[in-house]
Amino acid sequence: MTMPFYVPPEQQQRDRAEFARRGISRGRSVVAVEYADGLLFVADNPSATLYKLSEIYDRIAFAAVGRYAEFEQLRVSGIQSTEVRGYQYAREDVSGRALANAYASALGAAFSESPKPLEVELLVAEVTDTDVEIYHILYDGSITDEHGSVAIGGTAEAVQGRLKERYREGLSLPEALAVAREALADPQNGPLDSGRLEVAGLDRTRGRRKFFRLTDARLAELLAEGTPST
Amino acid sequence: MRLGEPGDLANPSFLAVLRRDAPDLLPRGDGAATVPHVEGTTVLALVYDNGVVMAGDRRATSGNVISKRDMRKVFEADSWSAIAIAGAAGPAIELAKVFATELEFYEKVNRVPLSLEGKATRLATMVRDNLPMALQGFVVVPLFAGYDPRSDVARIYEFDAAGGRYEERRFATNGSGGRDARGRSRRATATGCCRTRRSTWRCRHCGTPRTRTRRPAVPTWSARSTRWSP
Repeated sequence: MTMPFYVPPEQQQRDRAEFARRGISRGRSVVAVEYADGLLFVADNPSATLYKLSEIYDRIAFAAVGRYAEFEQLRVSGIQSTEVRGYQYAREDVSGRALANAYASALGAAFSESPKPLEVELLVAEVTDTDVEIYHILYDGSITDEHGSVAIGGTAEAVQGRLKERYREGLSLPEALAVAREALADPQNGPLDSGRLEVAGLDRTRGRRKFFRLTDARLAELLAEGTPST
Repeated sequence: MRLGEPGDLANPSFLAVLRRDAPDLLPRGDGAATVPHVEGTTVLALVYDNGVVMAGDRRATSGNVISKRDMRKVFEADSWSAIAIAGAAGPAIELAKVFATELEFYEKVNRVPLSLEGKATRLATMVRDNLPMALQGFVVVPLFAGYDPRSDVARIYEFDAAGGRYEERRFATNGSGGRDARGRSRRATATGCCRTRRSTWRCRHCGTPRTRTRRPAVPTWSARSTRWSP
């Protein structure tokens, strides 16, 4: 007969956190930068079809790093619950904060209860008429709100450092894009090729749906525009 | 807000999510149509060279009383299509709302909008699902029109309560005033312009010769008048 091993809860938490962190650090990074009209998400993503950035609701966008299958499920769940809420009440009653809390509790539950924690890290952003709210949710369900700029994923600390150096308030769209692109790449290797960038965001000057995604042509145009000014 | 299970990722449907997570929000009619309710009257759709236009009158009736004069009957389904409603107003507006949410939900989850044909098929299923309510008298039969950017065509679809879906190339009408509107539309579209006056050979606006065969103008003498009349 085998004896069940006693594992102290502290040890168990540490092991799980270590496991999730290792999974996430294998992936590439995503950067969020506020700019004059809203928020820009830039992902280092070599795939042109497997997206990391997504529209959730009229004013809410989503960015994720880690295991694709896991955050894809979270993304669809988020679209479902916001749509149901908007249908039940009114479209303006759907808030990014409520969605971020829902994600935090789902990730927290998976961290402590399921056989394996989810290896994902999320950003939920909501744009209002005057402000941008960014929520950063970790694999264990801990949640923080961020201002200005934030980086998640593989080499987040290094990217975050470069981002903080370059970021300032009131950037234009091409400037914000240039800042994000420089932050994402190690300076020794030069800036990332535009084919590896996935760029999307929230623009408060748009109609009901604030989400936009840059096409390759528009991205090239903005990159050309943003480079000399920085 | 709570996150639900992500559901069927390959075949995303908002209606399926509502059925599963919030069945109490589904449109339903437990009473018979003897309950006083508002009914919409006339809507129509016409294809023109650059697309399709939809219109409705503003009137709604309740029993034999005109109950509203500012009713909205044409709703945006998505950026490329619209839905016009006639019949029991409550369930019909609900149907338009669920349908618009359904299209947006599909587009967000799959990141590609449905084709025009696909949207019409989906709507036909939703109208058919409404059959139990239709049998109680709450008949909801929409008119759907849109432009398909992929195939570059504009199309109109008519439906019946049994789930039938009929594609129209030129025009379609619906509602209690639909029969009169149909006759007028047919005459108006027959010559490519407006209906010609009986006494003229050409359309006064576009100069198109009349296509209908005229009665041979037999000169007759009227005893009561000194004028010749055909």
